[in-house]
Amino acid sequence: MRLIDPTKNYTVRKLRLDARDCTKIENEHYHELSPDYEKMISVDAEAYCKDYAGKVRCFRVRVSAFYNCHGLTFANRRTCIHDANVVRLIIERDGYRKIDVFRDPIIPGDIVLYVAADNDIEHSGIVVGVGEKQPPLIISKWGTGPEVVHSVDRCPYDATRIEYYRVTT
Amino acid sequence: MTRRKVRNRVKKKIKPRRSPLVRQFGFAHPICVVANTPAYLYKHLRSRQEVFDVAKSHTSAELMRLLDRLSRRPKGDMSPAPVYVYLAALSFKPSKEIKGFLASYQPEGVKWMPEMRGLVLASAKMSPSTTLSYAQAAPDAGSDYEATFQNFEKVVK
Repeated sequence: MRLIDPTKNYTVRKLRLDARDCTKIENEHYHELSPDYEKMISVDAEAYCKDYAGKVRCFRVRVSAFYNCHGLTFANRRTCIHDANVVRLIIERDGYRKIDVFRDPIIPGDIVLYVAADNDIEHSGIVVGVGEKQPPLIISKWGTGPEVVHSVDRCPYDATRIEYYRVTT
Repeated sequence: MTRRKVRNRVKKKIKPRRSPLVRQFGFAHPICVVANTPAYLYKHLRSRQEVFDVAKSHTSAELMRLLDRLSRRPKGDMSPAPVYVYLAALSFKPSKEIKGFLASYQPEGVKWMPEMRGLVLASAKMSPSTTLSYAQAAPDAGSDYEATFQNFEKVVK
């Protein structure tokens, strides 16, 4: 599906995306950014990269409006998922199981969700590394900004309530 | 040409032209960039002192006029940050004053407008005409509450 944005700053597209049980997943991504708009988000994203340089493992992508964190985690970098309820729907329909970190060790491939006090899922990522006595290393996308490999507690999102999930079947 | 000059040139090249309005709301840009959900954007903007100051220094009518002007701005000024800031500021105003305006406000290029509308209205102050009714609970004889109260009276005497 393709919707033309009237301002022409970008074109909004929606992918046909389904959960495992064929439930429709709401999503949208942005194409054909106007040069001014692209520059604007590049400068803001670059400022973030500067702020976090040295604090994170690496930046894989500096800026991209194609996908956001939930799009990286649940849609393979193809689109943006903005709604926390949609993320919950995916968790439920795709058969994710919440991990009790005190019983089950975190392993690479697990999903991490940053849940805010109001139950909004502010951020998500994929565990890519675990070490002894170290917080897990994750890969995540920061809005329209950079895609970053970072320690789970080193990001602009509130890491006080973190939940881990795993697909086991 | 020295390396520094080259670097400065490159920097100048990628720096977009920004209107005073966009520069004024510079604090909001990083929040807009990393926001993955509308709720994150709204919460983080609303918690900023700058947004509270905007709300304090403008009446509802002034904020609505500013938002209206932003929806008719030229295409070069496409940052949605000022719109989000004014919307967050509007949430500190009585819902009665802003409800009608928000229902019809449709700025171009603001992707999370429907979600922001809901969030602003949910946290806007109830109008003074709203009355809360509740059943008055009388303490039972011999309840902890009464006992405490009696003790208090004894102490006062």
